[in-house]
Amino acid sequence: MLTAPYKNMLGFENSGYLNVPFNSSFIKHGTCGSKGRTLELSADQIQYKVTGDGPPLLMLHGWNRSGADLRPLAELVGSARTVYTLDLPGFGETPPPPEDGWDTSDYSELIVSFIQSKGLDKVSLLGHSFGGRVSLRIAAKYPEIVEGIILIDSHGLRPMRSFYQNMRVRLIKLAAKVVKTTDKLLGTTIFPDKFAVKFGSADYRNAGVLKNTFVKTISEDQESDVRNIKARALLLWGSEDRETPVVMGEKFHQLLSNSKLIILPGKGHSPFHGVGAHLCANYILQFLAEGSGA
Amino acid sequence: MSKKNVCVLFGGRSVEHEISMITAIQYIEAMDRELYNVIPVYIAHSGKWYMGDKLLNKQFYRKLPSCLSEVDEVTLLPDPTVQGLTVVRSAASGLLSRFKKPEVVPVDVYVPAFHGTYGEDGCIQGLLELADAAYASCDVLSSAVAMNKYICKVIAGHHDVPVLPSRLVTRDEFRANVSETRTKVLNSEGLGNYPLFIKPVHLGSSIGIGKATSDAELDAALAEVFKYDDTAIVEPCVKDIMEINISVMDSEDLTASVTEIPVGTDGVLSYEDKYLKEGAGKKGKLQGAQESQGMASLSRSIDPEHLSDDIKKVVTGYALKLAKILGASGVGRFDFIVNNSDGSIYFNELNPIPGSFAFYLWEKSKPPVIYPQLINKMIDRALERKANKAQYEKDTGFKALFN
Ligand SMILES: Nc1ncnc2c1ncn2[C@@H]1O[C@H](COP(=O)(O)OP(=O)(O)O)[C@@H](O)[C@H]1O
Repeated sequence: MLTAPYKNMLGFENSGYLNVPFNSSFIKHGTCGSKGRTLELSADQIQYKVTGDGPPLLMLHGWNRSGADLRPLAELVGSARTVYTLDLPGFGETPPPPEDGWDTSDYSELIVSFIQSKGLDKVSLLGHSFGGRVSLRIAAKYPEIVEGIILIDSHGLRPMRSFYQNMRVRLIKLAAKVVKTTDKLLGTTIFPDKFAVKFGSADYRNAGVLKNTFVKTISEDQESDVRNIKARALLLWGSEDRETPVVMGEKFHQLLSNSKLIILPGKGHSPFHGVGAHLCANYILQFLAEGSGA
Repeated sequence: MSKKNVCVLFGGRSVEHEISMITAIQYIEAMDRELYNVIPVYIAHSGKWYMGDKLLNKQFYRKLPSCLSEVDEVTLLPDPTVQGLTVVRSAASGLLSRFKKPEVVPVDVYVPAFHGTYGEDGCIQGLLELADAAYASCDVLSSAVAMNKYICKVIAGHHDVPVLPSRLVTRDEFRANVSETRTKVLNSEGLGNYPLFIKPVHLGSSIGIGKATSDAELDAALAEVFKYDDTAIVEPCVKDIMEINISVMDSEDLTASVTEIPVGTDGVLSYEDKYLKEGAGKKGKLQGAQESQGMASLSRSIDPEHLSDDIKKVVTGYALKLAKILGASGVGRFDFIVNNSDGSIYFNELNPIPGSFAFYLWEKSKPPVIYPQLINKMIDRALERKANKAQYEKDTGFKALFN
């Protein structure tokens, strides 16, 4: 959530979208086509908290969450690492990407700038769900700065749907095209008003200014990234996860060259909630210790 | 390395039945399943034992008692040759299962996660001793002593750990003559003036406790205690009270955690403070639904900065000393009372099986011990204790009988 003074400071109170000033010293990461203006988000706009002591570890949260979601886990892992919990752009206190949206590569570039701006040479990465996508991008493209990667119920691979689910998705996509064309031809707004409300996912409907980012990131298949990653990887998966089911964890395990998969019985998509933070921290600390040990 | 079978026992014939369920389910959630096979065993109010994974789901209990037919009924026989759980009635009720011989589920370690009567007071520990099973808690004697607030204080006092003056009142003497009982209490050393504090001698979780500022209130408070217990303990009421808790674990050595000051609403922690405040009413949002986490959710100040190192040191010293004297094992919690008006510190009680196993204190200790590690230590120690005990067992044979 953006605080009011922050909004005023950036001067986009009534624009409806968050545009970001261009005074940044960093590379541009996104362009907003509609107004032909270049809009940027710089590493120093990323809101984050640090806890603990030791080599650096970055934690990247899931969609619609924020750094706060991972903070109890960060506290526990803090006994062995300096843990940064970031608010990814568009979540928590960090301003969102431009209106036309970012893909996970855009996100990863900004995180890499963040890492550099903090003067960190090498970091461990932890990504939950959507944050896992971003971690995978970084680990694949910048292996030299990634010590190890921890994925908790991560997205990044194509969902493995049943035949029925597949048919349904295809039909919805086809219908969407028809409705959108109709809207365009007749000037109606059936798609946003009716169609998306009925068939769009809750995340899509609630995405607000992040709608385009949502669309860009949700459909990415990062299998080739995953195949390229050589870093040590730990995969933590809730056995009852319905969003990114265990089969996805198994697929990651199969594709990554050096990974360990631990299935957490009874846990769902966010196994680090409640006392689960302790259980996740237990495996993470072991993984990190093994990495720095032998 | 093969996984160990760990049976977590909970519920039980105690007014703290439900809190035990919270403690146990949370404990199991924190167990490293790469190391352990978990066998949940729920002892219903009836005293019957049930086993099965369904017992891990809180929703399961909505349909008590009928849902219990969906899980196996088991028992622990006081027979050292068995040690595991004997299935009394299998949930799969087919023709075949009816003719099957009772099956035994092997168990390496039992973890009693009970609070209060029968589970924390030495009873179940006695059964586990008879069965020659490894278990992670105080033994029979230390459990029994701890669960009698009076005896525990007498022993502590005897070893120069300060305790508040106190007097026992039995239900029988109270019922026989209320006013005479009251006079006796008021004539006891240190109890001459109101306010007085009255609590059941055996119970925990602040059940049945009361404060009296007059004769009438004393009578009423005693009557209240006797709803739950047959004996009451009366102490002077510490008006400006601060509580300090600390956990002690018996692993290789006795180790103490950091201290905490639990923060109640009006100085005295009620059952509601301890177990109902957080979880109730708070609806799960995006950030993850948090259910009541029992003692772990109490608003508290852990390793409080404003608490002087001197007090922390004194409390730690007392706790370690008492743990040794009482022979405490497993993970216990020692509670102290500080009279803020003069700074005096009193040992109040030992909880052999504290709510949430006091894990929230260990995660903040130096070095930190996170819950799965705490659990590993408890289980390892239980196995070690059993191995140690086996060394002393002698073949007794028959000599006198046939002389
Ligand atoms: N002598 C006393 N004077 C004032 N308050 C007390 C006294 N003894 C206990 N209390 C309060 O009552 C609560 C419950 O008492 P305690 O002895 O801890 O029993 P329980 O085992 O039920 O927790 C304590 O947490 C403390 O707040």
